Amino acid sequence: MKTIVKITLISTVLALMFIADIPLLPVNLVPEAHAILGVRRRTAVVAYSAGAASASAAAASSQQQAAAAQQQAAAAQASGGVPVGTVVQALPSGCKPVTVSGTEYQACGGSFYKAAFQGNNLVYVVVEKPI
Amino acid sequence: MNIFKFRTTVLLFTLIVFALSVSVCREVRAQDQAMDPAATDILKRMTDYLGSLKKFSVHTQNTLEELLDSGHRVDFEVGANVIISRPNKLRAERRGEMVDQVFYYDGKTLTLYNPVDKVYAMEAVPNTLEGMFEFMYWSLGFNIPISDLLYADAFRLLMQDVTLAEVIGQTFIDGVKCDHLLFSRPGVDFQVWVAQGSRPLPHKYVVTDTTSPALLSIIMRMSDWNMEPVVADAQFAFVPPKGTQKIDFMPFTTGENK
Repeated sequence: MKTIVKITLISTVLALMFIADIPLLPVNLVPEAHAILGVRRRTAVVAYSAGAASASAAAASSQQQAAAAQQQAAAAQASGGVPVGTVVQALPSGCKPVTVSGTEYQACGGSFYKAAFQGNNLVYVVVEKPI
Repeated sequence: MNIFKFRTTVLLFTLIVFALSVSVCREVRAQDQAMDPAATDILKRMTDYLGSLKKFSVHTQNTLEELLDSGHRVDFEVGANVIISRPNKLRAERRGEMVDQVFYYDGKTLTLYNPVDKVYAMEAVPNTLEGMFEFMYWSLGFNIPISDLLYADAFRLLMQDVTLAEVIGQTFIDGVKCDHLLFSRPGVDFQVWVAQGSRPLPHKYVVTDTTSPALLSIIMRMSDWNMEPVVADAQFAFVPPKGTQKIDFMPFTTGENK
């Protein structure tokens, strides 16, 4: 009886050692990455070789900045004006185009927006009132 | 009775151990065969051939897999007509859900034009395709998916850090018999379908981000390859139509370098 216990024990340990060597099935729990919503991963092989980490970090941080700016914008809008430098993807409602010395702006409730490309996305940046 | 139990136990464990060691062995063997020269040869043939073309046009249909805020995955389609005249001219018309844009490069200036919004931006850029791609990526913050395959030293760039190269099989894409290749490097897997025969052109290219468990991909199908497109300098230079407004590129900072 003792021998059986011993052998069973040894075999179990052996089996466990082998199991430990085998990579567990790639079952991942719902990852944190999912929390960074709307992050556009413009995967490109060559671009990755040039420095994936810094590029994606930049993308993530610019996303965060944009999100923060949008929050600021929302907060500021409630109190009357939108901070200069705020970047939005879409203009608020009720904007009127205003052209000042050849440049077109959108006047939206006391704030002025100027169109710009961020990467290849068209965005609107809040600027000082053009004179 | 005891001896029976003993034998059964030993047999069971021997079997388990054997099964496990077999699977471990198989994995080790798979690693040994990770770099198949047949796969790298085909990729080299393709990049050499693409690099040798003085001019060409191609239609690309891109699928961008995205995660919505709700956690659901959706695909965005972008079609592009690309025309290239080496060494330094490119035009790409991209139409889709997320973009409606024409991209011009005449060897000196890059123009991004959104016809619907009636806005465009211009930027002085380096005078080679490669230099322009680099500038676009690092200074303006975007890239054209097909650029991966267009670099003069595309093979070296694609093969950098590759740990796995495999011929998955053969299949037909748009009626063209293609070799299906898989390559893997840390963080990125990519697959290329290369036409067999004297014109080893890519017909499909899939890049998968393996850093996130969502395994999001950019899928690019290439069709209507034309090696004899009519190219005129005027095609690559942008003349703003009346009523369009010139805007700026926002400065792109990587946060680390600048």
